[in-house]
Amino acid sequence: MKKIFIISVCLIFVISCSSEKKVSLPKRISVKAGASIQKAIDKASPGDLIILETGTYNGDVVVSTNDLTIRGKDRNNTIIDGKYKQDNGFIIAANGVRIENLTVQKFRTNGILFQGGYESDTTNTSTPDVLDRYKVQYVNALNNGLYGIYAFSSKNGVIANTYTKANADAGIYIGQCKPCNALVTGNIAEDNGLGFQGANASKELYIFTNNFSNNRAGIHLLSETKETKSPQEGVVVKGNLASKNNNDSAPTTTPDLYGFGIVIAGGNDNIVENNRTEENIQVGIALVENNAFLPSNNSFKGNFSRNNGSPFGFDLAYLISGRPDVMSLGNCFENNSYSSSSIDKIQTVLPCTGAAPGPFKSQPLKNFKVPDAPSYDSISVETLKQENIKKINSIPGKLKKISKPDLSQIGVPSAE
Amino acid sequence: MQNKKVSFIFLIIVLITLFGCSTQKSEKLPRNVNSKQAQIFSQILRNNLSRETTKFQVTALSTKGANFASEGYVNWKNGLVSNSVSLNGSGRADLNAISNKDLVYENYFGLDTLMKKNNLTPKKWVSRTIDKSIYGIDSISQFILSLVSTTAENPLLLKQDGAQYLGQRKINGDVTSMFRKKGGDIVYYTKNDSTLLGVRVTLKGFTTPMLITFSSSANITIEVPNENDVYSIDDVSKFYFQNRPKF
Repeated sequence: MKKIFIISVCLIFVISCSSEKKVSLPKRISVKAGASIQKAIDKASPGDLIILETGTYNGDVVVSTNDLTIRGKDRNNTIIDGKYKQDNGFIIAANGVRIENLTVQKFRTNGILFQGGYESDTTNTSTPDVLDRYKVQYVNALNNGLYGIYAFSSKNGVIANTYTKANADAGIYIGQCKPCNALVTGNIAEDNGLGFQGANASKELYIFTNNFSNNRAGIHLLSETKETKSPQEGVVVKGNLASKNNNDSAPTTTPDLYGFGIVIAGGNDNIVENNRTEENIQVGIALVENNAFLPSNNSFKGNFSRNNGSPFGFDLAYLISGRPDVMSLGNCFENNSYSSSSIDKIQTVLPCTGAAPGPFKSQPLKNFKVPDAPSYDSISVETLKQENIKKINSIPGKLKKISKPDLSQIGVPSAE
Repeated sequence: MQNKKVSFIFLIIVLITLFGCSTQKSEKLPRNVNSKQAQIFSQILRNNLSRETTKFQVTALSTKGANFASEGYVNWKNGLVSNSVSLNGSGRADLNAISNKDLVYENYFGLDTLMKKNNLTPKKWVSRTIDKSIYGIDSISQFILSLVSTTAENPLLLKQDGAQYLGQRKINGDVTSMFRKKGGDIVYYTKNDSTLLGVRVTLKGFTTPMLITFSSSANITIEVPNENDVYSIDDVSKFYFQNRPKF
């Protein structure tokens, strides 16, 4: 009996030891100013919080551990600085990563890049083609050669409360996702080539209550062939301010995109509602083609689009290059407040129910010479005083999948 | 018997060694760029914008063009190229030019004598509009000027679009990586910091591919000639093309 008891105890001990998973609790890792962020990340475990103390750091950091949070102590004074010599502030090649409360600036390509399908040169491994769960909040992205914040082939993301300025292509860019399952909200983008761009970014993507003013163009959704998952479709653009996008002090990689508030280029099934677009020198809200992609079934409702296009364009425009008229293709305009449109009585002829198929005569834009743009690295970098995140030291839980937000209460924003 | 055994063992060792070497995997080229290579490739034209005046040399990559040589300087920021061409292997410049995107200022060996014969006060340069379809020197200068961009390319899309890595090659002692866009016919030779050291291209109007190499910055200023030293092509058209080298 005694023997049986001893054997049983030993067995229980062995089994429990062998099946015990070595799971470490998430921990805080502090990185001193100027130290290597990469080294800290390489030592971290999934779920850890990496706090960067106030100071300046090098970039070209690759994050390949899941569920990390990288957070600056002070949003405006924790600075990842590429000095126009490094390529990217952060490349995130893992799921569930947060970047928060810091500044990324002066990188030749991107401030922050979430990259599905990243392939490492050193470890010879690749991430899945679609990166899952990401979050950027309370971040400043300044003076980068392409994008301030870029989510490529990624889903279940949040980009919120960021400030992007003087990025040559776009302040925020989401590309090649279908569905994107992403929220872009509460962001300010100014002095960029574009405030926001979504190329072949489709479905469950909600762009709401942002301020994309004072760029060369505000919001640009397009279908294109360079990225996969075309055409672009099914995005909600609601409650945004996209005014005065005639900034000739902003850099650009797409010079012709100048003087537009919101542009849907060859996209389908997008909902553009309750946005305010004013004083854009070419068009407040434009629906156009892009190469072979014709736009269809886009609805424009309740927008306030006034004082645009004088004297070159319109408050509302539906135009196909090289054609004097357009077919309805299911595109519609309803309850918008505007005074000029490329199609006469656009809301009467293109209502959201019962519209005739067309064709409808559409006036072209007048010839307009777009101004030159400065280079992104010639623009001075400002010291900022943007709001910090609360609870700096709090270790967050895992990022979850994105649910459809309730946008029903979002109205037209007031002017700046 | 002992010798036979030794010979047999030696033979086995040799066979194993040969077999082992033959199964060693060598890199199969060309192949698609990886992320890091795409990043390097994406920056090269943007990088040229920040370079000082750069020296270049053009050589034909076949015996057909054995007597041809061209060299000069380019300043991508200012959009100017100065170029001289030698066509007969003598080493003497047969044709000289300073070009921007619209105009070229030319002279050639013996032009001043021709001007005097035609009762014109000799001036150093003759200006005409660029025409790549007619003039080889324009084809070269305009191609070199095109190797610049105010913006970098998107490396993710370069990679996804099938940009290729072709291996490595030394250019003037520097190791470079060779890249080409999918379906493209230009090969770019670049250092890892995106400094472009050469291109291989078949230019419009040429049947032979050319290698154009770029070397370290020179302390040279390229300037558009003073208008007092320039005849327009209309002023000299009666005789200019009689002796102008056909290039």
